[in-house]
Amino acid sequence: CNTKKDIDITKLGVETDPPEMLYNQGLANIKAGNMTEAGKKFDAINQQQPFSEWARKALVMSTFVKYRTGRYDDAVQTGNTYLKQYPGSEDADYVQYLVGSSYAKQIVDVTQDQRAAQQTIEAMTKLVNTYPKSQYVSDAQEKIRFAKDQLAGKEMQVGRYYLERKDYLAAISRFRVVVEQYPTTNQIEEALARLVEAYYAMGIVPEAQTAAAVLGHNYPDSRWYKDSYQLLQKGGVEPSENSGSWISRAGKKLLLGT
Amino acid sequence: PGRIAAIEIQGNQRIEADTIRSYMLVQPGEPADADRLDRSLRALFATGLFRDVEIRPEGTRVIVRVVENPIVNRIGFEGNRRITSDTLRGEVQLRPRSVFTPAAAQADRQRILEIYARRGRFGASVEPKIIELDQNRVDVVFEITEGEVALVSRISFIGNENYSDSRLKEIIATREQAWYRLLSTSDTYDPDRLAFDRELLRRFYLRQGYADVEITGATAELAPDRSGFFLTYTISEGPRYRVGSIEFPSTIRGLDTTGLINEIPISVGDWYDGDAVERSDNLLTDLLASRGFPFVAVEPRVTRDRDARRVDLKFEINEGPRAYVERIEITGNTRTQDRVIRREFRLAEGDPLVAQQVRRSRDRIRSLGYFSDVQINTAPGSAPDRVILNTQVAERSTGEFTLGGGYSTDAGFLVDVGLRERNLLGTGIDSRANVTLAQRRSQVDISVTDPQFLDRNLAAGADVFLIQRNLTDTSGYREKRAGFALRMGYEINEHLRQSWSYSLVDRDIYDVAANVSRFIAEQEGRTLLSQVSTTITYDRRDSRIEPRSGYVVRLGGDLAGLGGDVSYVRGRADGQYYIPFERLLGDPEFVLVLAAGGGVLAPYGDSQTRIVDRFFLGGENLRGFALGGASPRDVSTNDSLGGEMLWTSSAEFRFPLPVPAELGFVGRAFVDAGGNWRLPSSVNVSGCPTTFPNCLRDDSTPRVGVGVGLSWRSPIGLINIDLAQAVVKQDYDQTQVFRIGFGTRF
Amino acid sequence: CDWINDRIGPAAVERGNRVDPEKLAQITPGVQTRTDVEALLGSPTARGTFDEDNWYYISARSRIQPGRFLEIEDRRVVAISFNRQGVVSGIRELGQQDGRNVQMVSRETPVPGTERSLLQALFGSIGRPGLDRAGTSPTSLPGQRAATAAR
Repeated sequence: CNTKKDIDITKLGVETDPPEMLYNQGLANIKAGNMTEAGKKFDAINQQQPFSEWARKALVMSTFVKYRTGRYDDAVQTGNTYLKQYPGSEDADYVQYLVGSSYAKQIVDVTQDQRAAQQTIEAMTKLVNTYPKSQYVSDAQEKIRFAKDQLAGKEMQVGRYYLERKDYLAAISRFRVVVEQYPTTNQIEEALARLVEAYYAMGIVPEAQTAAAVLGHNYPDSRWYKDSYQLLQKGGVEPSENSGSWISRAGKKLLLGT
Repeated sequence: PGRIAAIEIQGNQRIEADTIRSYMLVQPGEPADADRLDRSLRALFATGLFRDVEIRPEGTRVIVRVVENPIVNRIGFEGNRRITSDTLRGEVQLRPRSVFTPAAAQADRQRILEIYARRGRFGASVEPKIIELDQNRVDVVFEITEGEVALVSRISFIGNENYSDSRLKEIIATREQAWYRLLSTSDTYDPDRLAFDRELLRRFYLRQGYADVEITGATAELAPDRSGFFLTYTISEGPRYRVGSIEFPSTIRGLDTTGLINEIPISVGDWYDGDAVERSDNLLTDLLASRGFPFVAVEPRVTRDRDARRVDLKFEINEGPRAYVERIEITGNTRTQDRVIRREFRLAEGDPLVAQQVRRSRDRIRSLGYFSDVQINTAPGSAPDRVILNTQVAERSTGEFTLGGGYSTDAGFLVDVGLRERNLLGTGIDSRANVTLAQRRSQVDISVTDPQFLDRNLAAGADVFLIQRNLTDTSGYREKRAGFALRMGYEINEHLRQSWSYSLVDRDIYDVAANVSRFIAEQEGRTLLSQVSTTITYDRRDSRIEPRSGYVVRLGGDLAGLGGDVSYVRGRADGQYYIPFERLLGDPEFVLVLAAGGGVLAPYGDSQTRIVDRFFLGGENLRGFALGGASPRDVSTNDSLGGEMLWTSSAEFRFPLPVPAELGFVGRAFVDAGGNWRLPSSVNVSGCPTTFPNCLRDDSTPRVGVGVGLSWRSPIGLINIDLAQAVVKQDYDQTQVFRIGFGTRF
Repeated sequence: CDWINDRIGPAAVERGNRVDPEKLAQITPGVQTRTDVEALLGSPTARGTFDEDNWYYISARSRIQPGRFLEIEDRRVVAISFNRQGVVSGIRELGQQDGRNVQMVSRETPVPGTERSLLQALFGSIGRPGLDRAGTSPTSLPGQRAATAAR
């Protein structure tokens, strides 16, 4: 038999406190550092008067509390419900920032699944595009750069894995992704140097020269350029652009970055 | 129309005016053109928040009248006994705080009915009750009357001339209602399973050669007293075909099809078998891929000759679609490192997409044991002939703390404590530590293994162990071995592996009983073994964990004597051959396992073999006999001495018991045979006591044990019970009828 | 013979996009365009990193080797270059012998999220390194407006 008592229909009374009191109690709890209690207060407002102005404010605070207590997935969920209901409100940029930060907190090291980094980029880019004047834009861009470094690091990790096993064609496609999609990250120098190694190992010398020349052109004093230069020189080859004006075109693209 | 001065919202109780305005497509200060107003109307309806919306311009103002839909406050369920409210709440669309519409309530009612139907309760009924609350909120309660489960009381077949009703009942998944089936749901009536049964019947007939078989009908009528269902399957078997000719027409240049005929499991004259044709298709594709033709498409063509009852098979081999792997994306690995998974892939980025390689890669990742689920599916790449392999893994805890107890005839009662981490720090290294304390055996061992050392095709490992065995009953002494071993192994090809190991072991024979055989008494004391050994394994089984078909053969050689005070050469060999009987008996659990093994121990230099190194026969490797019970023996003191030559063999037929499969019972019937003989020259009758001059027995005649056994994968662990009778034996052999072994891990 | 090879010798596995010599013979400089080449040989394994005018079809065969990485043998590269109008201007073929032995530089560019403490590695997700080191994290409350008491 079903021992668990289901809803007792007659007892459904209205919550006792009015929304203002609940909201202030929530704020007080946050200041006192009692996050879980604060969370309960804000959730109660939502339960009692959904869609009211109090519910909107409470939703912002509930997202914040969930973020601070490390419940990132819940913070993202509450944040997204807020953004769906109040796209135009004045706190929307802050909530979008909370959502992006919740993803950023879940970024792990490059040997593992980088989905969190990808989600951070998407959430923060949405913030920068939809709320260009928001005060959080600069920090959002900082987090985008960090997340892109992560994704580039992952591509390099896999590229080096294939390069070590002499799977040159697999390695080349990975290093190309870094050159094409993440030219502004700190991985770009190594990506070019690895391309020199991979192409040279297969005997495709012109490509190796081109990659070395672009590396030298943009990062003349980089240690990676020194390695590539020595590698090519040992084989009696000079790192130089081999066909016409493409180097300036390619080089310019790199310097400006996307 | 003029410009709008303001937008006035009327009739909203709970939803803020600003919120409604934010959905409007027209704002104050803009012209109130009809099209934008109309689109705003539709936008407001689309939110699902309102039962009714009206927008009409009035002078310079726009009036928006809304009637709000109520909000659901709580969902309740009454009268559900078989299914918990939480499961129902998970299935139902309406949620607290979501918008209530009558249509949603009806849809949820239908969903609940479906859940009950799936559980065989077709008589259930559901009534949604709405309770109005203040502030336009409602509570929804679903009142459920579950009704009785409909069971299958009778199954019958029409048109089955060649196979009996009882035979076909074993093939289909649905079972007739029976007392011992109270735990299982196989006897409840489930319409989806009816369709599944039709497929099982069709495949069974195709396997037996009835190429034209048709399951024309599968009907279920409710019994007059509504207690259960009568199922009737109508079958038109059609003629039984034999295979006439097999050809391999190919349009690919340079592809030699001569040898293919003996690569497939079908030969001319066999009964036609639908499954075998399908299996051959995959086999050929895999084989041709490994011979340098990655892009072949093999199309089996079956042409039937009804009156000659002959089937001609044509495996058409032509150019398949060319596709290349652009990228291998690995997601879901929250602990395991990317390279530990990537190195299991049989193909890399840029390589041809060969389905067989993808399948094998997925199976290799699954056999790592780090993931609860591994899926590889393809997504289109940046060009029509390029594909991205998205690999989705779900990590599971690979750390195991096991505390076990148990009893086995050889070791007595035992306690086992183990700590194992199969994926140390996500690097794929398997590390474990085990302590086993038993009446007649205690063991401590620590072992670390990296299956792919430095990502290379090289497994490397090390073990440290201390083993104490009390062999007083069988040979009148205790034995202690302590030492370490270094291991290394690699794959020669997909099925052939070789492993090497060096072990340094200090062995001590002590507590030698007073009345023990003189030949054992001499061996008391410590000896150091320094041994190099290698094993070559050729493994063609379908799975390593639960093999049901294929075979595995192991050849081993040990060389002792590089240092240490024991020098011998030892040869080892063993193999298992699994013969599935699924085709004949329909259930994959029927398997015949043929096993054989052998060992030769030959000393070199002037030393003689010692008892601690010799082979023993009886117990685990010859059921029906006690441990070492069929080995050479000193009958004056009844101690087993072991022998330098050994062969063992076993034929064991495993079969499911007529009990629901989920209980985990497997029956076994077996015949074991073996021989163990040859003592070193130093062990001869001159050493026998004067009262018993001819005390040595060393006889190479085979011994045979026959018996039955039961394995039960019980909730507390695997239990094995064997009853075996020694049928061919020497009078001095030690026999043992009953063997039991169970280990619990929790 | 194949029987032994299949059973004992490690099977050679086709890698990359092996260009069929007969199809390659049908391509003559100055005639075919990019789309013709792609139709005939499939999409190229690699394109020029900085200019689209060079296509490379790279293929190889690999075998399992005891104790080492896969042994790569018979690597072939077919380089097809195109002129500005996208018509084939040159075809070059490289073989295994053109390959050079390259010692990979062991240095690795660090990635901020890489240092994973032993504890995190052991227990996975506890205390993610996340972002604490990069930029401020939103510990501050949203702008003063929302934090003030109700109006």
